[in-house]
Amino acid sequence: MVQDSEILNGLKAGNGFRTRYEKVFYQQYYYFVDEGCRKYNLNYDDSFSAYSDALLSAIINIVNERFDGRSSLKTYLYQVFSNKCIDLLRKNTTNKQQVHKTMPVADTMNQLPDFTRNIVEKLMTSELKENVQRHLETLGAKCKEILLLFEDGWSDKDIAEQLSYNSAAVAKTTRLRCLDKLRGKITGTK
Amino acid sequence: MSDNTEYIDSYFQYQLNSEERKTFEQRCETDNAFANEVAIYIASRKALYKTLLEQKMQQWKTEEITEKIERPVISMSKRTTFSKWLMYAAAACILLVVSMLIFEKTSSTKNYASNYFTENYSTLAHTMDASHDSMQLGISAYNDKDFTTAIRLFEGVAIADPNNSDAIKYAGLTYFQQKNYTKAIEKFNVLSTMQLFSNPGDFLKALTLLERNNKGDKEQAKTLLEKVKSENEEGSNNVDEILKKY
Repeated sequence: MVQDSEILNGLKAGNGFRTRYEKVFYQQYYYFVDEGCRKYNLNYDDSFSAYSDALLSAIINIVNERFDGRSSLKTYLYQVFSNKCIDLLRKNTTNKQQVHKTMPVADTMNQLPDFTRNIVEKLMTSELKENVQRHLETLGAKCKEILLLFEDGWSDKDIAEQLSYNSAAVAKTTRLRCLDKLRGKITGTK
Repeated sequence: MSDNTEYIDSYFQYQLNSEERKTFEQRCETDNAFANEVAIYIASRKALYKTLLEQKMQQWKTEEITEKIERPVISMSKRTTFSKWLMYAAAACILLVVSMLIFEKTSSTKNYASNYFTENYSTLAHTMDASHDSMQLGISAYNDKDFTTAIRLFEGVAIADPNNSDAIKYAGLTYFQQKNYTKAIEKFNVLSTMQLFSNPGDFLKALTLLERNNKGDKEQAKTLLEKVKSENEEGSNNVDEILKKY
């Protein structure tokens, strides 16, 4: 059993450490997957997906200092996992038709107030989502790497260090150019 | 690079001030092309998260930890009798400290308050519908311990609908979790003035005062608790137990 403090320090440490401690974290609470099958009556794949999603959200919150340590890692992860299981259950039972609401992670969207969110949500058709997914696959490896690193919770400063950019500002400009490139592909302007 | 990409990214990275955020939101409502760019940005971020999650799942599922994590190894045979005694003494000290902490925890009014919040408000109850409603999203954020998002959502609802007692109560609870007791008291104060069938405002305010424990807070809490009891307000069943600890 690895202590919480060791996992937290490992996740916040450099790149190599983080990968290693992500695996430690993953293995330590892997038994939640069985819990998801038993308690929420999910099949293995759904429960595993909820577990991985919860783990990734928890890791991103930890590295971004959004986990304040007032509960144990187990309690924290279990709460996030339970919510993801409920999201999946809800999706499987009540929202079968709404194929466009596939990702339980909606944090970006949640930042918008209700009225604005409704407007933007209407524009996010399943066609747009498929389009984005398709063009993301055609994006260059370098661009994909920088965008995925950012999504993984690394700051522009961290990305600059990892990918040997001169500064965080250069990393940010490159990242935004990549987003812009993706948008251009989607809208057909680039 | 489009100026809008940077502008949109700044919004979602919380780099805009409240005035700029409002302008951004208004532009989404009035400028369809801009709203479309925002939709593409969000869809792109979600697609990236999905790709990342798939990569991680693959990585976690297939790879085993091959390297042993290096930790200091203490050889049992090298332990001296002295170090054994030292360990026993350390264990005894830890036991003593733990028992003192437990005693302190159960006896003081301050810890009663924090225990009450931990036991009753670690998570907020969800309803199974309206998953995109701000209140539900606030509750999700609260349960995920993302208190910054939760407070923004609850405050938003409270501004839009000042009579929404749940939004005010949850905002107070979120401030309490953030240890921002002054703001929590402010919210519970507003709550206590509302006409409700069962109003927990005074009781929650009293508990928050006990937790803050500034000069005069304990006395003010006592007065409030006595009021809760005499007027049979929500929380009155717990008042005797707290007053015994004074």
